Amino acid sequence: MLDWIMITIELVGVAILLIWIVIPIREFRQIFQIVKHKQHAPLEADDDPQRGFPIEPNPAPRREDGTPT
Amino acid sequence: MTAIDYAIVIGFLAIMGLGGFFLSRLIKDADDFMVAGRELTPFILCAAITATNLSMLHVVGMGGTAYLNGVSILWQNFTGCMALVISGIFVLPIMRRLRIRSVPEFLQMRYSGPLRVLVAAFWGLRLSMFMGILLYLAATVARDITGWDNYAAWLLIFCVVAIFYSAIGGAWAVAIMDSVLFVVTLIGGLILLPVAFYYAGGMPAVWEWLQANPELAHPKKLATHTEFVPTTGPFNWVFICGIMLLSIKFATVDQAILQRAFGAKSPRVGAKGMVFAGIVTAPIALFCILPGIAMAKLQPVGLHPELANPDLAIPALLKTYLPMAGHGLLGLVLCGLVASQVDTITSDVNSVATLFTNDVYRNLKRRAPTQRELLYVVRLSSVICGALMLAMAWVLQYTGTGAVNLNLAVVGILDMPLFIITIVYGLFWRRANWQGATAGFATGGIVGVMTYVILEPQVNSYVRGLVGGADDTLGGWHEGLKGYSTWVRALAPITSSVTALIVTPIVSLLTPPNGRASADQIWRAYSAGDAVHSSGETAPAEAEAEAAIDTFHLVPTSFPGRAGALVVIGGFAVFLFGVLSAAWGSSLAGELAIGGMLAVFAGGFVRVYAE
Repeated sequence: MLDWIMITIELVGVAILLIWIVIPIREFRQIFQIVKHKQHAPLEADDDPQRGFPIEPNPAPRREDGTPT
Repeated sequence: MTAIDYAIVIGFLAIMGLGGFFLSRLIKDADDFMVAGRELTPFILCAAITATNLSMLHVVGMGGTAYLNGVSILWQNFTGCMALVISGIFVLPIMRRLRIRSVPEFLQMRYSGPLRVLVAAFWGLRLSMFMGILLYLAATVARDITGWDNYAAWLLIFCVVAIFYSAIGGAWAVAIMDSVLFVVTLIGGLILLPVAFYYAGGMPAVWEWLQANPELAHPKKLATHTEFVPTTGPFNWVFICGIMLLSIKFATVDQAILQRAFGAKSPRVGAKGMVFAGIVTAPIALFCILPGIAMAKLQPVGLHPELANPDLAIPALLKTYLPMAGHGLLGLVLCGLVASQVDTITSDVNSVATLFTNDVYRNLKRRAPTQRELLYVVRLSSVICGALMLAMAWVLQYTGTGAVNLNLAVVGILDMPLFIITIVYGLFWRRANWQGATAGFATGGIVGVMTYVILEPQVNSYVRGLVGGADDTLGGWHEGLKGYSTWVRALAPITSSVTALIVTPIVSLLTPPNGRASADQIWRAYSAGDAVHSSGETAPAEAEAEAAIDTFHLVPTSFPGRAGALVVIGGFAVFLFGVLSAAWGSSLAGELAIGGMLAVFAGGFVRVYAE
């Protein structure tokens, strides 16, 4: 008698495996392209975790389209 | 093990080392080392989280527990999967939007600097201890399977590879190599499961045999092997409730998991990665745990008393049945086990190094360190962390499971109050202040310790010996409640978290309100774009670009998004009802709990893809 439960579990596992071989390769390429052209902080620059990400203490209200008033 | 098996494992370790060396070229600044430059995509992130989550502890430890106690140990993993989905859609987007590198950094933003340093030091030590346990387990299993009885050599082999590639490659190496290691782990599972059930006569036959011979599968007949939500036994409905609480904690404040998600390209990508990781880990758990169930029929403990220590069941399965199935299969499955182990260790090494550098070193230094200094300190921290892990693993060969149980007790006692002050009050109650958080954390810990002192017989007698005196109140309490002593691991997280839940608001209301300006950033991070809002002309291009792709609102704005969130909440309620219904012996408890879990996955998937 065929063990359908185990066959189903194995098929799900194989599907995850195939997805994991195909999609991350595409994502690796994207990441390497981005990192290649990314500007990094100079080694002698002070560390700032919020770099390029300013958080205003009192942000100005925004219009509906997202632009500052 | 044959020469082919050895060649496969050695080749695999060499490839891992080379991969780490290649990826070290991507490390240009501290953000690259700690959060992979915040450029991770959904699948890479999912693989990193899944690989961090799965370790040899799952295959050998939980597979062995399934061998002795039945299939309900699956909930240790399933609850974690649900918690990842819930955290991904309700908690992670806020944390990611704050652009933090660690959970203690959030505590400083929300409460106070000293609390950040205290929690970072505590987490760093605890993770080092946990890694020591993982290393001990890996070396013990390798020694048992290969027959090469050199514990120190095995420790060094695992440690050198893990430390080498996490110290030079940082979060980039961890994230990208985890994607590769995840595939290797999965291949190991895909081989092991059919081999185990082939020799056991197939899954239906195993199920029938276990139902007909419970006295052979478990000599004390404590567990019903085939019940998903048992009413009795050590892994019953109370255990599932307790582990659900711990899983939510794990998915919302565990540094090793969240640090990967902080590396997401945007809050939505972080949410997608967490939800995918939850959905994908659930079937993978079957590959880890079901071989233990097959082994319960192949070599039941009633006929094989040498397997009474459940940690020996899976190694026995591997070395007995895999070589019979084909040459090289043992080597491939071992690669999967080593991969699952090394990726968890490297993630944790990266997290401990980040905690020490970002939260302790950086916070105690008067001026901001340069990128060069930080990179030097974080790499040095990785090596020191490796040394700590090695020392812990070395000590464990003498203390055995005593240290493992101590670690479980510490997790149960202190992690839940941390979750309460960080997530429950830190994110969802503005009036909470540092006095309330500190009091809640401390009293929660004390009550958790007292739960162990009262319920756990060995701890009770040890403490009574220490206290001495004629008044034996502790002994009286233990006598009155000793019927619940097997539940102590599930009850300690519940008592410690309920205490923190009550004490934190009382002390907060009795002391002045929180006046920290930095806490305002947290409230603004609930909505997409608000936390990163900057006046158009002065905003750096990076901030504008990040704001443009940040579209994930905590409260969904579209119909599919709302429907998805509602299905998650409803599914979770059904799961809880199913688990609790086992208390009065409902025959539908398992079906309800699993149905609820599947609804959480489906709702989470719709939620992150809607809008």
